[in-house]
Amino acid sequence: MSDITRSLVSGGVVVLSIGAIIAGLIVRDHQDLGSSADPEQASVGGLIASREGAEVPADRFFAQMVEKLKREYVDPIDDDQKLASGSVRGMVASLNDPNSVFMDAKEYAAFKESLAGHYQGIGAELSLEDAHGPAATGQASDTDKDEVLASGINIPKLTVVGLTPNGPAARAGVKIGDSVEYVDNRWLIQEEPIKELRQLTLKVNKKAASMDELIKKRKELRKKLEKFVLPLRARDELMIGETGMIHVVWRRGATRISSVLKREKSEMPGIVAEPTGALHVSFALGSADKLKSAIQGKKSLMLDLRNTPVGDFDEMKACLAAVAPKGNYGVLESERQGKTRNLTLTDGNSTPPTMTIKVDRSTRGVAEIFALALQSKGLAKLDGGPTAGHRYISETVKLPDGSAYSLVTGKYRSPSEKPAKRTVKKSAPETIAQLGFRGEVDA
Amino acid sequence: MKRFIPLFVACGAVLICFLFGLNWRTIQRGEMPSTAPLMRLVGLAEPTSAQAPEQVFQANYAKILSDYYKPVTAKDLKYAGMTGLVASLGDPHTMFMPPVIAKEFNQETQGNFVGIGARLDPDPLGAKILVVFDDSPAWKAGVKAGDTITAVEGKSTMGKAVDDIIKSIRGAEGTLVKITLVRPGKKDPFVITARRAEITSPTVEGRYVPSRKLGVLSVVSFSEPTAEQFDTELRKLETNNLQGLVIDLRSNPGGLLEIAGEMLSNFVDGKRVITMRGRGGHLEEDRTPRGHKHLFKYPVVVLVNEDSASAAEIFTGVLRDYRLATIVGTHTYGKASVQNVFPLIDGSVAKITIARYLLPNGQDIGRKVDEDGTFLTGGIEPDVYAPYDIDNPKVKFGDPKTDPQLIKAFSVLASKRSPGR
Repeated sequence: MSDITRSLVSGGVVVLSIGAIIAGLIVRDHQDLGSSADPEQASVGGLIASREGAEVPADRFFAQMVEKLKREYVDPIDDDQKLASGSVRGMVASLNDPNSVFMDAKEYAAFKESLAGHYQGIGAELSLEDAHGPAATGQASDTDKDEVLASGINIPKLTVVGLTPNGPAARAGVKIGDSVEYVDNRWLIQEEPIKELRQLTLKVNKKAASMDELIKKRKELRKKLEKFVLPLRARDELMIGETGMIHVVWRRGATRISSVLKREKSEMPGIVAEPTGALHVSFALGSADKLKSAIQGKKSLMLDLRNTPVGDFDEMKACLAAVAPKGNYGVLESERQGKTRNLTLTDGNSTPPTMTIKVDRSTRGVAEIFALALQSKGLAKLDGGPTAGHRYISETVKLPDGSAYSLVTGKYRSPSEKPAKRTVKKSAPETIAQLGFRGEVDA
Repeated sequence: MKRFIPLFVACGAVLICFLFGLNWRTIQRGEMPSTAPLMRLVGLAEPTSAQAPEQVFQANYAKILSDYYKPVTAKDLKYAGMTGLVASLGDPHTMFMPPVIAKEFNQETQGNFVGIGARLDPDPLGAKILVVFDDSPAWKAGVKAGDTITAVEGKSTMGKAVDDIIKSIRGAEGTLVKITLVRPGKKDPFVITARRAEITSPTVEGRYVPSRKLGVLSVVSFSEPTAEQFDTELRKLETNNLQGLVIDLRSNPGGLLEIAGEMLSNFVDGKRVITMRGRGGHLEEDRTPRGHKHLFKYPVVVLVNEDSASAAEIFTGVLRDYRLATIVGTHTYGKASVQNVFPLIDGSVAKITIARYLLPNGQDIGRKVDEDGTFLTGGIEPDVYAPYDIDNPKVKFGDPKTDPQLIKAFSVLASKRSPGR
């Protein structure tokens, strides 16, 4: 090889190498940005077509948003599934429904376990309960004006709605209905001090209370807000994990109870025979088979459906079929046209036992539906009550990255009840930000 | 055989270069190069899971829309999805704004809106008038600071949020609005009628405190008219015997970077404001415009608090780093990123963090919080710490007699000019 050809060839190699680097970069960028062929052009076309309020297909919207973020965001975006799950989280959150909730992978795993009766954490089911909901016995207050001013403040309470029989919480004396005020010395926002502050402000305006009192109250509230924890995070800390201790301050009515609890495994069995002879049914997976064998040859039956926070809908239906004849047991009502379904048993027990069912406020969800269905058909007598008023049927939808969400698809109505009136849309709860003392705006 | 060796070497070199290019983005991020991009290229690896992200979104959007037990507005659901998508990045400054919010945001940055030209504060009866803008419709209708709005168009405003009251006061340009007011010292409420007009919000307010011979420039945001208003108010103040100046940036959420640069050009000529680090480590400098420098013959204090953010922090940081002002107050918010606004198909908007920045001295002021959102570090620490007393209702924000932060700023200015004079 002559020197000239050699240098020509090595020059060519260098050029090819540089070309290869550039080619590599281009290929990678193309991969990272996805397959949208010419995004610039796409967005220009979009702008021309832009008409405010014009309906744009949701999937196109999603694609455009993802592409924009990938192109512009300061950090590289690798995990597209995270974006997708984020969008679902946002949609579920917008329903503003404590029973339709998004669960990350860890929360979902714990939820699935609880459906099978296996609990972690302090051995309690905690739920964000509306303090003014149907379960609360609200009597109209005579301080109408205060109510007007306070309207809009609606801070749900993280409340114990169920306990595993021998779990850490039950052993420590925690009761159903207790609500959480502090977790490891961090405050969960409560309604009372905010309402009190409002009422006191009114009094001060009317010169019925002193300014110093108001200053003191404000300081107290501010101090509490300096160290707070979001309720759903507190719920995770209480319900997930099998190691470590957690310090909780509970509210039971007006009194506070402090307890240090262990996180460990505990169980809520599908069926337990109680000393009184009653059967406690939790509707955890596997309950129906056990119920069938437990009632064999029995003419009468005492069931205990108190403390039934979580249950599986299909399992409940199977339990119903074990103790009741086939037929219609009410409807799963939806406000959407054509979405209301019947709760129908196509198969059943043609010789049902006579039943008495112990119920109270802790009878909720599928257990409540079970009790009301049997009662409405005259198949069972309810002992105790009223029940929780929590009769939602939800579906759990799994997402590719291991997260999931529950979606309420209906509310149970028994055959003896009249159709419910349409719910009026509630205004969004007021945010704490409005407590700020400098809220001036231009008009 | 031997003569092929150089060929192999050459092919190898080209291949290595290609792989290097393919992985450059990864290396740039300081991560280990991986084989994933190559695998994707030759089709050995599926892009990820079975369901593509847009399918995940679309399927669950459809599911919620059809199966949730209450009616859902499709548009709201879609927007909520976008909000959640953006939130999953974990950056509070990258935001999705549906058309209505985008419009309000645009108004804020422009500093313009159609209304009556008054500043309102929450009040149990409705809203209290804090300031009436000069020559505004409210001013023409005889509204005075201290009046309280009790009804708009005959509808009581008692217990309503100020934002809602404002919505009812604003409207189309040229239309009339009836407002019921109560005035201290007047027995009965009275009704005024104002014609709505385009208002340019005063974002800078200058006040001279004769007893101390000091001036206060309160800057509430950095929007389009702010630089001009800043210059005008500064000149007005300087017609007095000005011995010191407080630039009050408390609770100023920031705004346009360009405007902050323009205002800083009063102090520094063609100097570096910030260094931005964008995608892939790309560096860009932002400098103040030239030929606008103003001679400050008196000491300057910048007053800040935890709600001073973004452009307000840049303004503060630049004056601190070039030693042109003393910083008084509490630490600032710590927003060390720059956003750009991108219009989307239907009038909604994506505000996306496109870069992070460093102050002239190289400091990264990015806010760090713990899992519960409690502040850990970040922001600009003041040279002279001075807290506000928010729990004391006798303390009035911006009042030279009771506002403890303002009083501290005054005493710092006094100490600056007294030695040697």
